[in-house]
Amino acid sequence: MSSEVKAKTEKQAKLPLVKIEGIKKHFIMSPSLLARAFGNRDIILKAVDGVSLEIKKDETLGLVGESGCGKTTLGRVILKLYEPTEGKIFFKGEAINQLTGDALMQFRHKAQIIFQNPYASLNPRKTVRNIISVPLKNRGLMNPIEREEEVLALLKAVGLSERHINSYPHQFSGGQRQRISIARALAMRPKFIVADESVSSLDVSIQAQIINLLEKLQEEYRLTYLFITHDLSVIFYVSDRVAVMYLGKIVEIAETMELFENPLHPYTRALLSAIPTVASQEKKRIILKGTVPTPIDSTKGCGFHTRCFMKKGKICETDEPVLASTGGGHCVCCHLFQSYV
Amino acid sequence: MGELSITASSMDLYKAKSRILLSNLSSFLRELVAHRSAFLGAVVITIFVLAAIFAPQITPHDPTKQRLQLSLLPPFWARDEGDLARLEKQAKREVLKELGELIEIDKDYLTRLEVMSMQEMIAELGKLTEQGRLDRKDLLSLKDLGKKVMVHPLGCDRMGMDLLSRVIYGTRISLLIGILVVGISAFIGVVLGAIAGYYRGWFDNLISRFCDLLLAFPYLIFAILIMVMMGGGFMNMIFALIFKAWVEFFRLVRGEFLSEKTKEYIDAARVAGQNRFKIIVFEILPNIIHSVIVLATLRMGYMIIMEASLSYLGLGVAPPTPAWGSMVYLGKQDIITGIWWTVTFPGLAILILVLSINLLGEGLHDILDPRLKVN
Amino acid sequence: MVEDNKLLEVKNLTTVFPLRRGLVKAVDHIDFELREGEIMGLVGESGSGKSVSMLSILRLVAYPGKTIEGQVFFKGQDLMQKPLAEMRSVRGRGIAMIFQDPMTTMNPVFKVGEQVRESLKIHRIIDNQMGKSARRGRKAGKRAEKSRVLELLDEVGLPSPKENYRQYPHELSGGMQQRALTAIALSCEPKLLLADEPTTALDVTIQAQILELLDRVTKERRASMILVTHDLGVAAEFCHKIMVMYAGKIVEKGPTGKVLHDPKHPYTRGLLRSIPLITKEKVKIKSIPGSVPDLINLPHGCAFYPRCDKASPGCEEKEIGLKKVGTDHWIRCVLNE
Repeated sequence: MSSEVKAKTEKQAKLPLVKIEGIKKHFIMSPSLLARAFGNRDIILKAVDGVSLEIKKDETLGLVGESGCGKTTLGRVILKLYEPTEGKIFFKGEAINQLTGDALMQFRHKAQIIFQNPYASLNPRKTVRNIISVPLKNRGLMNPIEREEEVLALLKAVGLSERHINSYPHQFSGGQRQRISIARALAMRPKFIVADESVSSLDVSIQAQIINLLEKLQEEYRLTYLFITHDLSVIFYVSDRVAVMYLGKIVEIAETMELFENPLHPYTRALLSAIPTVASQEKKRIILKGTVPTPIDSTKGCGFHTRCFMKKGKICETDEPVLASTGGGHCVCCHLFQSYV
Repeated sequence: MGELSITASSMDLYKAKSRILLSNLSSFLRELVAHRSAFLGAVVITIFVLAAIFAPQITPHDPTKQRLQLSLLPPFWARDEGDLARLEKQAKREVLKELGELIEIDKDYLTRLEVMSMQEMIAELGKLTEQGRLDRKDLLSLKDLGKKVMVHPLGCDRMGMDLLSRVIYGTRISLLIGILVVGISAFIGVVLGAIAGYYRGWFDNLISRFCDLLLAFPYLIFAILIMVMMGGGFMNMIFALIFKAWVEFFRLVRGEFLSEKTKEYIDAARVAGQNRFKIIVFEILPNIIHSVIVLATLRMGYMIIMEASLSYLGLGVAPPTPAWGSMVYLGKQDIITGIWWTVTFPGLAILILVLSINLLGEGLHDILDPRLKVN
Repeated sequence: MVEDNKLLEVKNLTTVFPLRRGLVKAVDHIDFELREGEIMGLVGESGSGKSVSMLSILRLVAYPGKTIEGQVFFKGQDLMQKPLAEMRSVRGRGIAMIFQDPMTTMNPVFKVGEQVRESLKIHRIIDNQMGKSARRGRKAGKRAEKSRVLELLDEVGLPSPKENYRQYPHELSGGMQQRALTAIALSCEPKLLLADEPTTALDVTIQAQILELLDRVTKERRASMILVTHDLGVAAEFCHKIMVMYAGKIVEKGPTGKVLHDPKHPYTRGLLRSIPLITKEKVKIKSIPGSVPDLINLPHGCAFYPRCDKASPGCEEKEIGLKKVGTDHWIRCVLNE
C-alpha cells in the first residue's frame, strides 16, 4: 500500500463514519394563487432546524423523539433522499453534498435504510427475487446466476427460507416483510444503515425477533446503525448512544446508560418518566402540560419553553440555547446547564 | 414454488421464472372464468374477433357487391312469395351470366333457359355436361353459384348488399377503430401522465391546463368539429377520436403516479440506486397498469359507439365500405316504410359487442383491483 | 345467580367469521367477569381477538362475523338475548367504547361539540333530567345540552372548551382528539368503558396524559374499564387484573401483579421476555420463535404449541381448558406448577 493511501486510511479510521454539521431542512408550503391574493404567505415548516451529529464506526446511535420532532426527516436527509436546505454531510470524511451520478451510487452502496411500514416499503408487484435484485444490479452484479445465489444467501442471512424467493409481498406477514427489507438493505453491502422506526409497527414478539436479527447482523457485517424510534425501551436496548430530538433540534445526547440514569434536559426527564413500565416500583410521573407546538410556529428562544416545568427564567423565552457538553460525552441544549462567560 | 439449491443453474432460474409467470397467468384466467359476466363478455368478444379475422372465409358474399334485384330483401324468416321469386330470378341471372362466359350460347337457348325454374335449369345444364359442352367441374361451380346467390340469411339493404356479410366485415372496422384509438391514446396518455405525475412542475401545469381546455367540449361535438374541418374518412376519424381520448388516460396515470410516488417502496428504490427512468417504468408503472387496462377496455366500447355515431351522421367511413354506423346511416330512411332489418342487425351488432366489452372491462376491474389489496 | 357487585360477566363468548377460505374463530369461548370499579387489561398481539371481543360484547361485529355462542351479563341482564332495539340504549349509555384512532373515529365534517352533544341527544339525557313534564321548549333543552357538553370538555382536560366546542376534529391534535372521544364516551355516564388501544396512535408523553385521564374519570365515577392494549407496561400501570389472549382464546388471566411478575403460561412468559427493560444491567431479550398462526381452521389442542418451549406431545391433541393456578389466577396450559 502506498504511503499516501495508508495515511488516508489511517486518517479515515479515526474519523467518525457519518458527520453532519448544521443540517437544516425546511419545507416551504406555498399557498395557491388565490390564497396568495388574500395575503397568505409561504409557510415554512422547519422539520430539521440545525442539527450537528457524529456517528462513530460500529456504533448504534439511537435517535428518539415524538411525532413531528424531525427524526425521520433527519434520517432521510443523511441518506440524501431529501436535499438539505443548509448544512454539510460528511461520510468517511468526504463531503457528500454535491455528489451525483457514479459517485452518488458509490455512496448509496455504503448507506442504506430500513423503513417503518413493512406493507408500503415493498413493491407489491415484484417478487422477492426482483425486489432484492434491484440493488444487486445497481451494485454491478450483472450475471443472473450470481445474483440468484446472492439473493438466496441474503434470504438465509435474515432468516427466511429459500423458497420465499418466488413469492410476492402480500403473501408474507409483517415481520417477514421487514426481513425482506433488511435483506434488500444488506444487498448493497452497506457500512451504515438507518433503521427508521423499523420495528415500531410490529407485534412485541416479532419486534424482539427483528431486534435480535439486527444485532446479529451488526456483529456479522460490522455495521453502523442510526436507530430512529419513539419507543424508549427499544432505544435503551439497542443503542450505544442516544440523541433526543425536539422540534427539529437535538436537545440532549449522551451514552445510553448515562442518559437514562442521569437525564438533564427537562424534556428528556419528562419523556423518561412517561414510559409505562412493568417494573414494580412506583414512579413519579411528570405530566407535561399542553401539546407539542408544530414546527411551523416560530417561537423565539427555546422551543420547549411553552411546556417546560423547570424554566430558568426570561432567558428561556428570548435566547435559543446551544448544545453544549457537560462532560463525558454528555451534551445538553438548555439554559440550565450552560455556563455563561 | 421451485426449490433451488444454493448454487443455481441458469436452467433452474429460467424454470423458476417461467413457473411464476405461468402461475400468475393461470390464476388470472381462473378468476376470469369464475367471474360470470366477465367470462361471458370475453367469450363473445372472442367470437367477434375470430369473425373479423376470418371474415373472408365465413361470409357468403362480398360485402360491397350490389345486387339491385335483391334490394331490401327481408331476412329468411320474413320473406313472401315475391321475395322468393326475386331471389330465384337473380340466382338464375347470375348463373346464366357465368354460363355465358364459359361457353357459347345462342340467344334463343338463353331465353329458354331464362324462363325455366332453377331446378329445370340445373337439369338442363346437366344435359349440356353430358353432351360434353360443359365441364363437369364448371357445372358444379355453377350449381354452387346458384345456391350461394340464394343465401342471404339476414336479407339485403337498399343496394342489394348482403347484410350478414356487411355486418361481419363491419366487425373489422369497429374492432380496428377500437384498438387503434384506444391503443394510441392510452400510450400517449400513459407517457405524458407518467412524466407529468412524476416530475410535476411546468410540464404538468401545461399539459393539465391543456386537458382542462379539451375537456370543456363534449366528446362527440368535438369529434364532429374536427371531422367537419378535416373531411371524413377512416384515418381522419381515428385522429379526431384520439385527439380527446388520451386526456382520460393522462389524468388517470397522473393521479396514480402522484399517489404512488409518496409510497415508501419508491424511496427504497432510490436508496437502492435506481435512476428516475427505471423507477417510473419498473417500479411505479407495473403498479398502475391494471387501472389503465380496465380503462382501455371500457373505452373501447365507447370508441365503437363513437364511430357508429360519426358514420351515422355521415362523417366517418363512407359507404359502401361496411361499417356498422354507416349501415345504420344508409338504412335509417327505411324504417318509416316498415323495413326494419337494414338498421336492426348492425345496431344489434353494436349493442352486443359494446355490451360484451363493458362486461369484460368491469369484470377486469373486479379481478385486477382487489387482488392487489390482499393483505 | 349473579352476585350484586358483578358488573359484567361474560361466559363462553364465541365470535366467528366464515370466510371463503375457511372459518376464523376470532373469539373462542372466552369467560371473565368484572366488578364495579375494576380495570381489566386485555392484552394480546395481532390476531388475538381482543378487539373483536369488545365489539362482540356490544354486538357490533360486522358482517360476515357472527357471535354464535355465549352470554354477556351486564347488570344482571344477558345482552345476547336483548332485542337489537334495546341494545341501542345500552350502547353509549350503559357501556361506552373508545376506539384506537381518534382521527378516523370522529366524523370529520361535524364540529367536536356537536358530536358530544349527539350522544346526549340520542340517549335523551337532558330530557330525562329536566323531566318530561317540564315543557320548557326546545331552546332550554339545547342550552342545557350545550352547557353539559362544555362541562364534559373541561372535565377531560381540553384547554379551552368554548373554543374546542366550535372546532372540527382535524383542528385538534391527536391527544386532544382522544380527550374529545373520551368526553363522548362519558357523556351518558356509562358504568363500563371499553377502551380499545386508546393510546397506541399517540406519543408517549400524550399517552401518559390520556391514561391518567382515563384512570381519573373511571375512579371518580366508580366505573369499570376494559383496557385493550398490546403494551404490557400500560397494562401494568393501570389495571387491577390482566387477561392475555392468543389466537382467540384466553391463555392466562389473573391479578396484574401475579400475571406480570409470576406468569405461568409460556406465552405470557415469552411476551415478557421479549420486552426490552430499562434496568441497570442490560437484559437480553429473547424472542418467541415463529409467528402467530393462521386463524383459519386452527388445529385442535393448544394454538401456541408450535412456538412453545415447554411443549409436550399431549399439547397438540386435546382441547385444554382453563385451570386454576392460584387465587383468581387461571391459565390454559397442561403445565401445572
